[in-house]
Amino acid sequence: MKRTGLRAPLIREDAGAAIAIALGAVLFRLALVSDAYQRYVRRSSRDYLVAAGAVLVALGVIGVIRAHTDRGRRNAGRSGDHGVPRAALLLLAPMVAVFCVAPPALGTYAASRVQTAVLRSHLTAATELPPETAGAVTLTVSDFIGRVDVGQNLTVGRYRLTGFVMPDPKAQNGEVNLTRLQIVCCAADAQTTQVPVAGIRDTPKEGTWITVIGSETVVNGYPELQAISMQRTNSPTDPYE
Amino acid sequence: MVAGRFAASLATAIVTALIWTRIGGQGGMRPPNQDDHHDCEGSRWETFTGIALHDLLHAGGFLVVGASAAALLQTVVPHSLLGDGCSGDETAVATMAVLAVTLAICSQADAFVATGFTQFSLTARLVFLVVGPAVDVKLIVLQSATFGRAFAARFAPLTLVISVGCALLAARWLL
Repeated sequence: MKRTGLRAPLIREDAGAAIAIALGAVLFRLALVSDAYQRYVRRSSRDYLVAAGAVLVALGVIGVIRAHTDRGRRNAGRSGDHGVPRAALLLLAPMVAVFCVAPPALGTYAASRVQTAVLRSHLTAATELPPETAGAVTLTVSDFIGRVDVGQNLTVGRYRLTGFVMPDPKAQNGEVNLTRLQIVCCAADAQTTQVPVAGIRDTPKEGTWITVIGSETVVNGYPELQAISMQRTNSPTDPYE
Repeated sequence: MVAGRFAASLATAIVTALIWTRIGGQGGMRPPNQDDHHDCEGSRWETFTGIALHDLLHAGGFLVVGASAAALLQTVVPHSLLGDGCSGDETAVATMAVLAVTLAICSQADAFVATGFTQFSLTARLVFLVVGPAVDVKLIVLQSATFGRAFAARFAPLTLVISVGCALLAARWLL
């Protein structure tokens, strides 16, 4: 039975520890210093990312100290080989990706390929609408569709939805799909929610983030937003619902 | 469905373990000998942090490989392909099993993703939920890295077959 670990190629122990410190620093950079982590995971993961970064940095620092102090060397020297597996170098790949490529949040490419979310039903017909701000109730796209699904009466009032533009394959009058991506724990499980929007005159390019204020209509049994006004916005820091 | 997933996953774990004790052979699942790396001279804390760093770097490195494979498959294969491939129940089950292995979705999210597969039967979706945690691309890479390629070459297909079988049985009796 081959035992891989014993004969696995090794790199220096302090090099491995340095990789751990670097990985921890990347996590700090993503979650502590900036909000970039929200492109990849849920906003609620922030504390876990910071804690994981701290553990990595701590283990790495201990490893570096052990590799360079007399006591550490003495302890290590008694055992056979000391070093960490060369596989540790693979951990450099995501670090390089984060810094050099800085992958953006999922957008139209993912939205055109993943399946449509079956909405989680924490809403009932009696769930209250949030209060109006500046003449319209701000809802998420999932919330909007979810409330129509459970039978809430959304035909009274104006609603403000934010999402990015995707073409509507079933469009008859130049409707577009206002799209958001839903994730459960990380970008790997993204699913789309969409609401068709009618009544926009100069349709923005695919992928543009817009905020639409409109009223709800039902077309062919599916909720639509009849736009009253549309505004381009910046993509939000937390792009997932 | 919840009872089905629980029962099928539990059965998968037990059956796999029982079978592996027979066919795994001597040292079938013994990880590479850690004792040579750490002697008893250091304090327990030193040993702990040393092993923790070692395991983290070893497993983390190969996790990158597995995650890259899963990410590539997710990006390259559009989900719309599935809609066409589910004519019969057997095809649906096979498609879901393959999907569970290639998508490698974490267990926190796989139930939500499974609810989205509305064109598949409940049986096929139960197969997806049972096979996913048992064997997927990331796990296969990690198993090869930790226990050797020979181990993974036998263990992964074994878990796949057992998990599909247990899921089908649970579907027959509980769904």
